[in-house]
Amino acid sequence: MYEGIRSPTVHTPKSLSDLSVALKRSTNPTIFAGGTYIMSTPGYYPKEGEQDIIYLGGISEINRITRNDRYIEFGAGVTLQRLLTVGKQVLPSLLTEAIESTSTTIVRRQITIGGTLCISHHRLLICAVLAALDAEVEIRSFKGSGTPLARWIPIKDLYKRNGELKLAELSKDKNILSSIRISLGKETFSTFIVADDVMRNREEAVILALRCTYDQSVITSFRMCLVFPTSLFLIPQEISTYINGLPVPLSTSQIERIVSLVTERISANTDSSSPVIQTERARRAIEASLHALNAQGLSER
Amino acid sequence: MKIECTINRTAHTLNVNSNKPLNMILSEDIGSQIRVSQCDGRLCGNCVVLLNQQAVLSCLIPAFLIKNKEILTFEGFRKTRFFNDIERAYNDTNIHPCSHCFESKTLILEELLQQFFSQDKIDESTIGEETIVREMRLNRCSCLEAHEIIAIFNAAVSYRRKRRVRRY
Repeated sequence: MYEGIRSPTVHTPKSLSDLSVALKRSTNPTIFAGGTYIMSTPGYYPKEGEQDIIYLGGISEINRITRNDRYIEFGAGVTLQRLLTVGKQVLPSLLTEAIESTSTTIVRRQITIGGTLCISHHRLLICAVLAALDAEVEIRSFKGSGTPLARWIPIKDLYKRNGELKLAELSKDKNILSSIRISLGKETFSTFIVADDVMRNREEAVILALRCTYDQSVITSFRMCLVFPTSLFLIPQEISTYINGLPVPLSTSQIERIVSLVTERISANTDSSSPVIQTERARRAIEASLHALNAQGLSER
Repeated sequence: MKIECTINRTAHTLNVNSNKPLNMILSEDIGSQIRVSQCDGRLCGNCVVLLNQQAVLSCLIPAFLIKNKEILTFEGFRKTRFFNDIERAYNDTNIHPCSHCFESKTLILEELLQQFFSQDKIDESTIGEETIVREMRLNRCSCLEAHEIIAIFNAAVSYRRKRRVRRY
């Protein structure tokens, strides 16, 4: 043991009521789900002033996967690998492909979906994909005594426009993200593009996730999420409004208009210190995905 | 925090900080004969160990998660008969990982072999070449080409298959 460094107390609650007790006992604890992000932070150990650790891996309520006709719901403690193994047949292809492209099996066995969403200031591919799929998250509030209050919110409400977790004070407010829900509607076109390494080059990387349906060549339910890992989380509603109702294939002028609209939104939502390369990559990613939509639409005629 | 665990088939009772990473425990608290990297969370992939027979990056495992678990480092693994399959595959193909990544690549290969032969797989061919190469890329060392990785894996599979046939 290192001299002068306190060994943090580890709480391992087995149920949400145990978790409630553990949250009341410790002040500002470290919430530990899979631990991949926390432990890969430089200087993680040794460090002075260690807080208590609450390990969520033993809570059965947040490790379940349930499904009905309308949606699939999975607990925040479900690992990406388990989600891939159990839910491959029912999950939207956009999500399964995003999970498959995240690291390797060895690391995916440890990464939890809740942990991925709750990093305070760093957005990853899974966040963008779930936002494009219009997922909802369940937040349980452990304020006061008695059973925790649960409420469902759209995933876009979980983050500020600069990508910061709105519930960054998760542990202070005693709020825990407990479940994620995705409706099982069928999308006709979905894609994601990741430019650069999101973990190592977070200042220059760009993530785009996009999905839509088109019926008789008319686009409906268009939804897009553009992420700069540390500075932007954008779901441009006016672009969805503009694209919905347009016929496939989109014309060159329509694509240019969409790209310029997105560029305007990027400059409105980021400060001047954001690298130009991110904006340029975002433009190219949107162009590429819209051309892919055109290609798919034309090939199905 | 007192932690009881088994490392390389030897029972240990460790008195370590509860959040200390496993790679640091192995190098500082167990002994210098165990070589694991200190990448400080950069996910270099050099610190792979087997935790309850599953490959993990030891830099991502805190001390409190190894309680009552069985840990096998490369030093322990090389004494098992499973290592012979991989060693013979290296010799057959005359392709060897470099000295920096030899331990971790061998353990990742073992993990892939376990997945390949696992009981619940309906079809052994579910692990494709692309998957094998991607999984091996967890270790960032680029000493092996994709075709070399496939060659080693295929040779190791044939040895492991013969061993399984003999066993049944």
